[in-house]
Amino acid sequence: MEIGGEYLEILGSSILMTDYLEYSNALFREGLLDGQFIQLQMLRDDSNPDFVVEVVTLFFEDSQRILNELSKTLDEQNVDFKKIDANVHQLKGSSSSIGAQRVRNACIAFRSFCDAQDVESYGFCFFVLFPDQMCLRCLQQVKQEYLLVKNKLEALLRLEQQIVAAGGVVPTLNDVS
Amino acid sequence: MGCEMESDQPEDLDVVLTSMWPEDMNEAGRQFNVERPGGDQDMLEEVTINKEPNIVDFQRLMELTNYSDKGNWQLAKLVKNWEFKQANVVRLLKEELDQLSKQQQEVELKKLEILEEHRFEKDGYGGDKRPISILDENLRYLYQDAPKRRKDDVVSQGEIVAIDAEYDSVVYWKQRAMHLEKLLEASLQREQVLVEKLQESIESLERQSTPVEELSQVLKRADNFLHFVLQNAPVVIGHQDKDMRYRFIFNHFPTLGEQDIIGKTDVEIFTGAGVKESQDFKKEVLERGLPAKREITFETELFGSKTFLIYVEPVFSKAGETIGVNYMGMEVTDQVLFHPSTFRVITQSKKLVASSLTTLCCVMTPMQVRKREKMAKLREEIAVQKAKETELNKTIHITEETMRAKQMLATMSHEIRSPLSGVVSMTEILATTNLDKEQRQLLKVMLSSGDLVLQLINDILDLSKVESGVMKLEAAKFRPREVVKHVLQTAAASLQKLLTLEGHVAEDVPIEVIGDVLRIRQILTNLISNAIKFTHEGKVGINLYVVPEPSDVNEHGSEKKSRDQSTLSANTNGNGHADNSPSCEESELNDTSCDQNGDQMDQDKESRMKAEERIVWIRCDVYDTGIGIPEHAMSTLFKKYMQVGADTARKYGGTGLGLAICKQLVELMGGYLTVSSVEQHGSTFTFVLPYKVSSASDSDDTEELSDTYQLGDDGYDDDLNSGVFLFPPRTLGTLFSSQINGRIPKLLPNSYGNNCNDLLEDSPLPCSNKEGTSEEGSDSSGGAMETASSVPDIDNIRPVAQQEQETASECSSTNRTGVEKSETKQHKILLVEDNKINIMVAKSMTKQLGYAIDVVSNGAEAVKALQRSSYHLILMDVCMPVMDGLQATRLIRSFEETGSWDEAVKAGVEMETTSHQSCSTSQVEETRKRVPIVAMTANTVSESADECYANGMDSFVSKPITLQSLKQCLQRYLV
Repeated sequence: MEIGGEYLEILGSSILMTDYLEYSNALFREGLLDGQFIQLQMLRDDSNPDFVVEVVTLFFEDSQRILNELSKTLDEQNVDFKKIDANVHQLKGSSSSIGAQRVRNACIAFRSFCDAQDVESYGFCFFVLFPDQMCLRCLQQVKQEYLLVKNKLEALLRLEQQIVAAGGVVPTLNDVS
Repeated sequence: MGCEMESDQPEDLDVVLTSMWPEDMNEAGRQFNVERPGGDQDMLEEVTINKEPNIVDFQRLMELTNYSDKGNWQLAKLVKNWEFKQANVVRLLKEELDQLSKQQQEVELKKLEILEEHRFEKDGYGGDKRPISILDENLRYLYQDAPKRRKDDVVSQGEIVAIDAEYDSVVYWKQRAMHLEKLLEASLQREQVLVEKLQESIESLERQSTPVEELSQVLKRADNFLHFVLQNAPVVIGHQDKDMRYRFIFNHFPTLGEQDIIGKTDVEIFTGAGVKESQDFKKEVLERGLPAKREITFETELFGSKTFLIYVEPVFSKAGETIGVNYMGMEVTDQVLFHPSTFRVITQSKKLVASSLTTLCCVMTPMQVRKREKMAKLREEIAVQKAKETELNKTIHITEETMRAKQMLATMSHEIRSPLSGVVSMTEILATTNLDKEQRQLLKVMLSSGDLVLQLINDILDLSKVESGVMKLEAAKFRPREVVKHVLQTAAASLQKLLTLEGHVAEDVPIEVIGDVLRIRQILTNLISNAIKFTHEGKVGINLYVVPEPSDVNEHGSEKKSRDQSTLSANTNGNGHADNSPSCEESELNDTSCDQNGDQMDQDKESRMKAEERIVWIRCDVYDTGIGIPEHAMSTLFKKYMQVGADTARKYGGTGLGLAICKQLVELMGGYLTVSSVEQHGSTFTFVLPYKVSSASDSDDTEELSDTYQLGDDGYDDDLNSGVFLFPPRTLGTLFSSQINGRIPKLLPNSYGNNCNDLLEDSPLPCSNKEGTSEEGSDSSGGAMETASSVPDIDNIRPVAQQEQETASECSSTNRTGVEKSETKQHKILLVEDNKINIMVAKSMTKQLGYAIDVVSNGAEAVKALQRSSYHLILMDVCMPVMDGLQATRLIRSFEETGSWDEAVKAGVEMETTSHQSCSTSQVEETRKRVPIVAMTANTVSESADECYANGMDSFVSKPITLQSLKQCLQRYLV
């Protein structure tokens, strides 16, 4: 029994590991994550085994705060595009550090739009009729990407924890790229 | 005698007649300005009066005559005229009657005389009898009122009674009595005739006494005459009631029947352009109650395209209300095209028409011929004006279109740039992951094409910025030598050919000048990359030297030729050198620079002392030994999107915007850009720009600054002054070494305690350091190799050979890392970053690499942190709140140069004065050395490498940072 249980455990963890690999592969394939995420995983060592979880958790908290702030700013009467730009810049920075590249791309698009509001920097006319509407749409996009990657990352981290709990080793994703 | 009298009679008649017909008789006719037809009567007979064109609603005419003032007036005038004529006739008749009765009296008298004195007077009777003329019945015709004289109709003739009988005999008397009786009889007869005539006259007078009849006859006559006059005139005359319905129309070219016109409005009759306008115009006149003229062009199916000059006048009722309009239109379509002679004919006919129209019951107010001619002239002028206007409008339209297209392009470019930069940065990130050779190759292609498109878009945006005048130039201090060096470095890093890159800055070029360094760097980079692109062997270089202020910037065209020749000759000299081995040239150049270094500094200082703030014109030649530019292409060289030829475009690619931008930028900065070239031998692009040289107060700084350098680091001073840079071909390793060496010595001069590290100054070494060169050469190249893999940050395109070398260098570096690691623990690193996640990641990474870091969250804090303690390396985020990385770097550099944080305080950083003072003395040595600052850029265009360099940063890593890139960076600076 014991042997069987151990066997099952090992089997279980190996199944979990394959799942994990497949799942993370899918995340990379769909472009939800990029190489930067692997960088994070590489930073995880014995002295700091929960590094990825910590960073990702911090990312979630920070992103949620930024998104809330963005929604708030866009609700205001006179939209402060500079504020929006700064916030989106933040989100872009953290998402690219995490490797959440679709969030990052959405942020780039968002920022390029904010840039365009800065009419003075370009002499030609670049007018968008409803800048706040456009911003809302951009924000919507960013939120969507964020929620998507959040769900996936949470699932991935859960898998990791399960693997660790099952006594397995979280496989490195080096070969994914 | 009797004979005489006979012959005299007709003359008498004439005389009498003229006196009988009053002079003013004609005036009746003249009132209508019609000449008395008289002998022209047959002219009228020839005229076949076409009744058709004249379509009349007679009832309306009646109404008009009854109800309108004008009609009344017209009628009254006619009546007056008729009355006048009648009176005349009556007068004439009366006169005749008087004459007749006078004659009769005379006859009676004579008769009595005869009776009384028949015996004694034989002759003399009838001798003074006056002739009598009777008016012609044709009097009715008003315009033919010259009476017909009926000669000898009833003329009493003095007959000489010839009596054959013997005087005083019975027979004689008998005969005489008989004769007298006969005479009497004749006289009586005559009298009767006269009475009859009189009767007749009176009867005829009575017969034609109804004025209406007479009037209508007159009207008819006038009408006919008008018809005659108008029969060929391009004239339309009409009357419309207040509902704009036609009540009368005269049109010589009728295409419509009466039923089609009368009772209808313009709009109902025909359609097309101008119809509505004319109707509205008529309505306007009707409403305003004032006559008006207007030219209206019709474009109708009915008669095609025709222009009419339309005169419309309102018709008022007695009560003063408008009850309709009279209008007259004259076709004036092709007037402008007429030959003068035709025009004269037309004018004449117009005159005729005009005059005849004035007779037309005053339908029109008198139009003066002169006015008409003036109008024609004016119209001609207007036509010319219009043509000009159309041309102008066309041009304006085209210009507008072009502007719009440009804006469109710019907007599009801007739109494209963001996603594209996303793609490019994605690709860059992808390139950092583990890839096999083939994938890497593909990726490289992706990167280079992506970069090309990005460059194109940036070019377009730049161009539109310059063109729209939005481009703002900055005035900041910069070091021309540094700029030349950086540009050459960057070019060398991406060089894929075996070319020598060289730079020479003349001694008289000031160390620091003021200008827009970013733009100047852009121009230089553009010209250099252009030169490299079209050069396959030999060299590409930059020459910088001071020139006297050009008398006129525009004159450069004429000067160009001579200058061309000189530069060309210089070029060929250069080529001669290029044939020699690079080392040979290097030493040669070294010598010159060494010799003059010291002197130059002094001169520089002196001259700076003299002029508080002077302008220096610096000429920059960018020369190459490339394929050259054919003469025919010279003119279009600086035009946008122009390349020398389709072949060139295909072979060399490029946007064709680079030179246009360079030219515009140079001109924007008040200089000029010229080119000279010999095909197959090379080209030289020359731009001359004015720069301000720091003012006296600033020059203190620079002096101090240069002192500082001299105190702290001779090598750096040399770097400042050495004006020769050489990037020889062949060994790509040295290429990198030169790039890096420029920095390493700067970073840690004191740690090594001497200037040996300077040996690898990108360019020739100053004399003092010369000995060190050879020994350190190998060492430094090793160091260079370690860092070689960081080159992709600067440029993503690397030759394969380079890549191999890179891997080799990695191997070699691993040996060293162990050693370094032990050392590095003591290194203090400052991370300036505002993003928590980034901080976390970076912290974790540095930790893994064995370094501890301090973290601050913005530029201001970084400055404060630097004031508290010193660091060996600063990792600086570019985009941060409160104070960005660029400004912080500038402030730190300013402190390093001046030893004071004044600039920082000025910028609003709250400095801790106490600590500053306490540590200033102790730390001055340490803090004054140049801290390497590495930018962390997000790979966007706004955070460009150029800008980082320009603000005093030493290098950059792109974000998100990877373990590898961070490792390389730390290894490079924390040896």
